[in-house]
Amino acid sequence: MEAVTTPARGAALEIDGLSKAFYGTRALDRVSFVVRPGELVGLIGPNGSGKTTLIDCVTGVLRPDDGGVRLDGRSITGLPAHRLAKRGLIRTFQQVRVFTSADVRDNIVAGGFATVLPSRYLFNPAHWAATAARADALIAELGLSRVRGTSAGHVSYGQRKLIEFAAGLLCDPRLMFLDEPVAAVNPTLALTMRQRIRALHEAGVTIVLVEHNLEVVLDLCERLVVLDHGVKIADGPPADVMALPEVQEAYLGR
Amino acid sequence: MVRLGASQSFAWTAALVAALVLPFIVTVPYYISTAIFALIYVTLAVSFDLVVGRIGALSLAQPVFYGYGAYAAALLATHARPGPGFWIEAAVAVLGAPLLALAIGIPAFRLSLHSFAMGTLGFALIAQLVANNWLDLTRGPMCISAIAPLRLSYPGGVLQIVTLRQSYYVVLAIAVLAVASVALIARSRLGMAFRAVRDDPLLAAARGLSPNQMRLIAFTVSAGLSALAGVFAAHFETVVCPSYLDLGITVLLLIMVFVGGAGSLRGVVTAAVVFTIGPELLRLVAAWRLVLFGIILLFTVTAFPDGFEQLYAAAGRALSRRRSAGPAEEQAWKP
Repeated sequence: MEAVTTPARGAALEIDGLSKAFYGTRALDRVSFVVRPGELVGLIGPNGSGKTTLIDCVTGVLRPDDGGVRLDGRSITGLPAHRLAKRGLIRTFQQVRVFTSADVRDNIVAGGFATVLPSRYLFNPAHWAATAARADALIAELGLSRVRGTSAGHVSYGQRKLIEFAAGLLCDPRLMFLDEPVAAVNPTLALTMRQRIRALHEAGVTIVLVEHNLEVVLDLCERLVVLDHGVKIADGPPADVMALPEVQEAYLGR
Repeated sequence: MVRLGASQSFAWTAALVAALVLPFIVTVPYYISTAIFALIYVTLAVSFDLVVGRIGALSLAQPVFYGYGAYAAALLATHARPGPGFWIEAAVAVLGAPLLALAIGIPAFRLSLHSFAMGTLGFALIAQLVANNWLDLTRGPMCISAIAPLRLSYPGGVLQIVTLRQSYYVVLAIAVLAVASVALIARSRLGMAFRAVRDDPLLAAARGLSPNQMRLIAFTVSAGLSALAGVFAAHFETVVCPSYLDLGITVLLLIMVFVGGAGSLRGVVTAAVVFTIGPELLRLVAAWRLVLFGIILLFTVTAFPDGFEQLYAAAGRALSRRRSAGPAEEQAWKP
């Protein structure tokens, strides 16, 4: 393990020397960076650069081989995903996931599980009424009203992205990883989504946004972290980062 | 939340009423005892489905809990005759079986899908070995016999369950308890959490649900209900043998759950009744019994891959088409 370093002052999330290998391929190679509270950071890089692996390692889906993660100054390395979700570390999935036997509304209402005490699943009607009301408002806002009662397995890919995002919002995130939230969403809804992400940011939620659409990234993010072949190659304000030759090379090729 | 349509609640009520009056219409003892076995299997299949259909874990250890309940009742009733009576035996079964389920489930749920099935099969085989070989406790293949009739104490007296009709109503109460428990869970937020874990454990975890915690809850509730059926069966059959832990029971329960429709209460209840009474009817053709049973099973699974639930759903759609003016039934969280 890495030597214990003192927590960076005022960091929401500290990623410290994170490494992960799959069958000898280094997917992440000693990646370190800090996300400050309320920040909206873009995590970019070419396909296969390790962005999703990083999210999986931070959110408890994968166990990192080496390195550590701290959330609000406390180590969360190796904690299971459900406990991290309860602490407000919420993520969406690049390969969108929904509960296929549930309808669209119940999929969104399921976000309420992250904010309810485990002993109260059955006995907290007030919580679920409030969650359902919030779900209905989001359904209207994200243009899902017509498919509200449809099985989530039978709606379009873009709609499923919206469902996942809405459910994530109902988890009351403190820190949210968005893994390509606007990919395959139609332009009008993508715009709604961008406004939603900005509103979330303005409400003080810390956000890490993974996105291939550079226009969206440059529009929303205050800072960019660039990964290439599992290594962090840049970290800084968008304009500076995009001007770096190694970033240009990673994106556009030689 | 899932709300039953008018036709569905009517069907459930009709089925309950039919079950209540059955012993007064059918008086042939053999038919009543067949109905009693059907209700034992309704209890077992519905509680098994809680694990297989509703949480998506293919356990092969269900007879362990049924056998535990039966042996617990048999031992309590024979060591100090006439035994402590139904309530104590039921308490030992319903509280002990979940502990057994935790002992099996905590290690077994660490395994992934197919290994989990093999792991639970291992526990089922161990239970059989114990029942066969721990002679001091279980008398092994010699069985625990001469178990006295069930004694049901109530404020002001004790009722001895001796007649077939009395036994029928006791097991009917147990079956109704099992069906009602599963129905209540299915319609609650806990049931929603179960289905979330079944559909996608990774996404369920991202929503703050611990997949293994949910699986253990389903497994323990299922174990308790199965053990209760075991208590009744021990007194009804008056003898408890290692065959209570037979893998044949697992196979029969798997047939009931999958031919009924995993995760469908009405499908599984129907299949439990059909596959208890069916083989009895086939006794009329003695030698061809198992061949016919196999053919019927093959036909059912090829014609209706989603089981009886598929038939019910199709019938429900046809019914709502006929009264298309009426409101459509809510189908939330139904596979």
